[in-house]
Amino acid sequence: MSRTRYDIRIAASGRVLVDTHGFPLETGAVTFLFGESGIGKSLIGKALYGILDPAEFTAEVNGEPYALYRDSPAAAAARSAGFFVFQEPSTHLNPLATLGQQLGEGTLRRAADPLAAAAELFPGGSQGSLPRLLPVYPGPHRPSGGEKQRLLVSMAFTRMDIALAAGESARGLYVFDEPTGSLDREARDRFLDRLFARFRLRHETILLVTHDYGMIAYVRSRHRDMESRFRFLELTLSGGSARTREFDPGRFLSWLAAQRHEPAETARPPLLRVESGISVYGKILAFSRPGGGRAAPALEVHPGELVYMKAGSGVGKTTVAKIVIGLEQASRFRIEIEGVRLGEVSPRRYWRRRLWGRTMTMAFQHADEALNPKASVAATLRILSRPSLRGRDALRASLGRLFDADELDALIDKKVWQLSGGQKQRLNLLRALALETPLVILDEPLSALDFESIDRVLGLLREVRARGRAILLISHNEDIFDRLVSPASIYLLSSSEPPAS
Amino acid sequence: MSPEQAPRGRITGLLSGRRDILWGILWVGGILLCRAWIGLKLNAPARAMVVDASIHTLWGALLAVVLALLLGWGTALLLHALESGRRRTARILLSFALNLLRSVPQIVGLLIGYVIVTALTLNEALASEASRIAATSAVTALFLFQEVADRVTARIRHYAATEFVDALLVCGVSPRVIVNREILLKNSMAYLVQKSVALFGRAIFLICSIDFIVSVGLSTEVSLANLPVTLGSLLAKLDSKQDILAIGTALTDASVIPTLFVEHLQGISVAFLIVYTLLCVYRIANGLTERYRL
Amino acid sequence: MRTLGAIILEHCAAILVVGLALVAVAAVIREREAAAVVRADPRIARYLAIDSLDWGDPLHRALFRDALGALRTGSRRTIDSLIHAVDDTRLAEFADPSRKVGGGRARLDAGEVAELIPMIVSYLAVFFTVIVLTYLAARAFAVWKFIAWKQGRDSALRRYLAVIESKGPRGIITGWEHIAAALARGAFALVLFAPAYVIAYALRTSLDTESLLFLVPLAVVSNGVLINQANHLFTLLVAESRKGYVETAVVKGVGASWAWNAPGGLRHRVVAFPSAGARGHIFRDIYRNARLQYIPSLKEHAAFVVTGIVIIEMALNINGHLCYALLRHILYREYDIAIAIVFVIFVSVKLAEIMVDIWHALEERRYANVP
Repeated sequence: MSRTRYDIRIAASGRVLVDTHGFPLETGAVTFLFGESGIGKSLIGKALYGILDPAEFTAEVNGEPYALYRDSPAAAAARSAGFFVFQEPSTHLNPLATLGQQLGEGTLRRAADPLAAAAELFPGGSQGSLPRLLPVYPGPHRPSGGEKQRLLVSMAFTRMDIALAAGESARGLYVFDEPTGSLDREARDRFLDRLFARFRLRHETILLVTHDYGMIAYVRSRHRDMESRFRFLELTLSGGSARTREFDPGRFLSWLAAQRHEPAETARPPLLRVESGISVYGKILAFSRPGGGRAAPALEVHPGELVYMKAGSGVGKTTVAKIVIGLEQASRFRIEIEGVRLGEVSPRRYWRRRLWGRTMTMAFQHADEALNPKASVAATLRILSRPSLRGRDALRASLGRLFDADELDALIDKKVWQLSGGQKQRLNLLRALALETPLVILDEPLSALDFESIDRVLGLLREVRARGRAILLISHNEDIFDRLVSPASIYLLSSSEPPAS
Repeated sequence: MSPEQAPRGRITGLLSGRRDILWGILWVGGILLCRAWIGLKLNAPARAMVVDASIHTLWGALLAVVLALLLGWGTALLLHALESGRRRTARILLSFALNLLRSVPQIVGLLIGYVIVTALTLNEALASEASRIAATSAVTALFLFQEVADRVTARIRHYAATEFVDALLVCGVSPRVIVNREILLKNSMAYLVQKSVALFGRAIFLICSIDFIVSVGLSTEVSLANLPVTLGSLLAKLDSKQDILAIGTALTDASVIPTLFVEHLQGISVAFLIVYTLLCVYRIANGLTERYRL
Repeated sequence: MRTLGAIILEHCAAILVVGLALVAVAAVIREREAAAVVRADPRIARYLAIDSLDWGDPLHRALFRDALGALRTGSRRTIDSLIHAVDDTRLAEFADPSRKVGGGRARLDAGEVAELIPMIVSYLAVFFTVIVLTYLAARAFAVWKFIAWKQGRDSALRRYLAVIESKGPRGIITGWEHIAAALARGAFALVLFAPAYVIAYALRTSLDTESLLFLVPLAVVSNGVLINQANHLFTLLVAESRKGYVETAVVKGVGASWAWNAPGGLRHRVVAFPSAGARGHIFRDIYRNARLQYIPSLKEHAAFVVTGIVIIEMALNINGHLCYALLRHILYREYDIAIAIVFVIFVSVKLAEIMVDIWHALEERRYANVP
């Protein structure tokens, strides 16, 4: 293994996007790169791999023009022997070619069986759900986000298999940019297992960009033997430039071990009650309890309680949340909010007039989409028309719950598009929480955040609970929330086919 | 992979991402150059006609674009309201009527519109010149507004497909504020400006063409009505046509070329103004698309 | 997404509605004309309608006067005033600027229809030829422009300015080839943007501007028709090239070089055959995705092509062509024929739209998933 340090500087249209010194990449090792989204991890990955678009970006690596680095024999060899799995799976598949065709395109044609790697990631293998997907032309809903991500990742695995079978001498560079964002815990663990199985046979250079700190716990428990070949880095923003530093996995693990759950009082009547057996999109969604799968008649959220709703990806957690908040229409459902019963016959108007922004609100999953990119940070909160947010001091107090004082000063008048992904996500959460509604629904609140921000957000949620407000939470970060939330407040969501009538 | 950009000097670097400004400057420069030249070489009555015609054309086109913007924005909002209000029949009827209008070729529609405007003028319903310009601009706007409506609808759909609209709704923001202020005013102005520029060129083209047709019409002195003179009708006058014929002779007989810019100036300058304006407006619209990644 | 059946139904309904509306308009106009004629002195109308009577011939006038005198009892003065009234009416008709020279008002009868049919056929032939040619030319143009953009070549004007900036005033002379290229491109652009009548009049003495061989290329090239279509496709290609699947294909080793005839690059035949000529290259996917979004916009372009053809035929007064006939009939107030021609034009646009919708539906069906 040899380590090279890179000074990377990337700019676009005159703005410097990334300026980091001494980024260490070790050949033959797996480098985990953590950090909040939007500060340049993807760009660094693209720069090192050699696919930055010269028309859009001007870059320098180690003081030399980018073209020199990109066309150097070492980089070119690592590139042709490697692969890059991009961040958003939804746009990375060609709508006019079948999935089967796309799995076997280009260099992947050389594989003995281009579908073998994919079969490993789908339940049932080559007899399961995979064959049904092969003749499909990818569209926005089919295949699902998790399936798309697994297919893209399997392309990288196929490339690795080709290198292994052919005994290629050059070591390839494999970059995985947020490869598990759409995967549930089981799929994520399977991905890691298959990745390291290949890594054990052939030590490629792997850069894994992610903000799922929970991976550390899994890797420590199941792949401890390879730890000598694992490196952990964190990219943080300090004063406008990104700093790379070593991240001690122990820090996260000890923090996780120290998390305790605070059980909620269930004496008071629940603020929200969702009955099991929701009928939507031709499926029936039901709740059950963890550890045993005991069926639960309803999901109940009491004041001061944080309820964690778990499910495999694609089952319908976000759908249930949207039904509760009144954005999605189910064919049959029963919920009770502050004593008022609502169902599929209730008019949409009721949510709009009585509930939105007053009794309940929701923070959505993708801060990029949910926030107005052209509004300033201050305007984003001011749109809520809350008297408590009038005036700059009130805004600063509100923002100060998740932002540092100096960070705050820099950001408060900036437009949202100028913020990093982690900053946007914090703003997204604050906007929902600033409404001070009795019930808040949070969809993947920890996505895009770095370790420090995760700690702060969890602290904020504790405060919110202490004030008697109720939280319904959806998240993939099972490692964290399984420890943080008491089993009495965890519900599993499952879907089944309706009984044939 | 595309090669690196060539090293740039200061001015070319400044203008590199801003082709819209470059062509805006080139347009104004060309117009001023033309104005100066005809000031020197063209006789006063003809010069006055050319200047008047240019002003009428530009104002007429500008008014048409403004009307198209208002009508298009309103139509898109109406369609969106009908859709979210689940009024299916009303929306289907409105879409049907709009699609019908869309299938009418613009110039045929303009011709019919001008016939109606003429009839109204003859019946003294449109007395002042301003009202006649307004009427002809309104007719032109009728065949341009659907492009604005399409663009507004596309922007609303783009945001409705993401979590944007939902996230604001659940914060208690009213749907009308979401569509008008958040989506359109704050996030779509570049699109609307670019569309307006493109439509400005289209309006000039249509106004000049319809006036040319109507003025040329037959070889007799038939005219539809006393509509204000625009570049199109100016081009249709006999002397202008002779001037353009001279371009043709210049292609075969090179000695004619110097005289083009001196003797045949009326027709040449009108033709130049029309074509050069269309070219520059098109490039400005393209520059805007490039600059704002529309 | 509506079904193809629903779309075609809407088109047919539109044709029906417009047809009915136009028939209603024609009926109303006919009413008003008949009423106008009746409002004129009914006696005079009777006498004017006598076909065999030529009011310009003094002999006929004298005979009429005598006949009237014999048939009617009335003073000489009444007969005189009647003949004066006839003369006044005829004078007013002659002075009416919209009066046709040589012949009376045409009506929509079998003879007129027989005259129109060959014009309609030739119009339809020109229309569809121009649409097909414009599509092919715009496609070639857009593909070429896209590849040139990807190659990152600066425009000639910018290269010239760069030479001046680096070499100072001397550069004005040494950079002559760039400015020549820029001016040539400028001249070509002027032609593409020029309204058709400017080009046609310019070339009138050198070419036969009334032949179809001139008309069809003129309709394709001028009026901004070609430029707008090419630009639209170019914009779609640019937007598609920025999408994620292109990046992933590049990583998979699909051809990604934009240099001509380079390994993993494109050959010139891709300009004429964008899909087939780009096998194994990312341009194939970019083009096919862009084309699927481009097809519906051909409906708009069809309407614009008609605008171009109408402008050409009307502005150049080409006798024997449908659109010029339309203009003549409008100006002579023969509104029922004009309305019939407008209806034919509308139906032609609708036909083009129906064909485009069918094509689009077929293309989408190729990539539809069987549920």
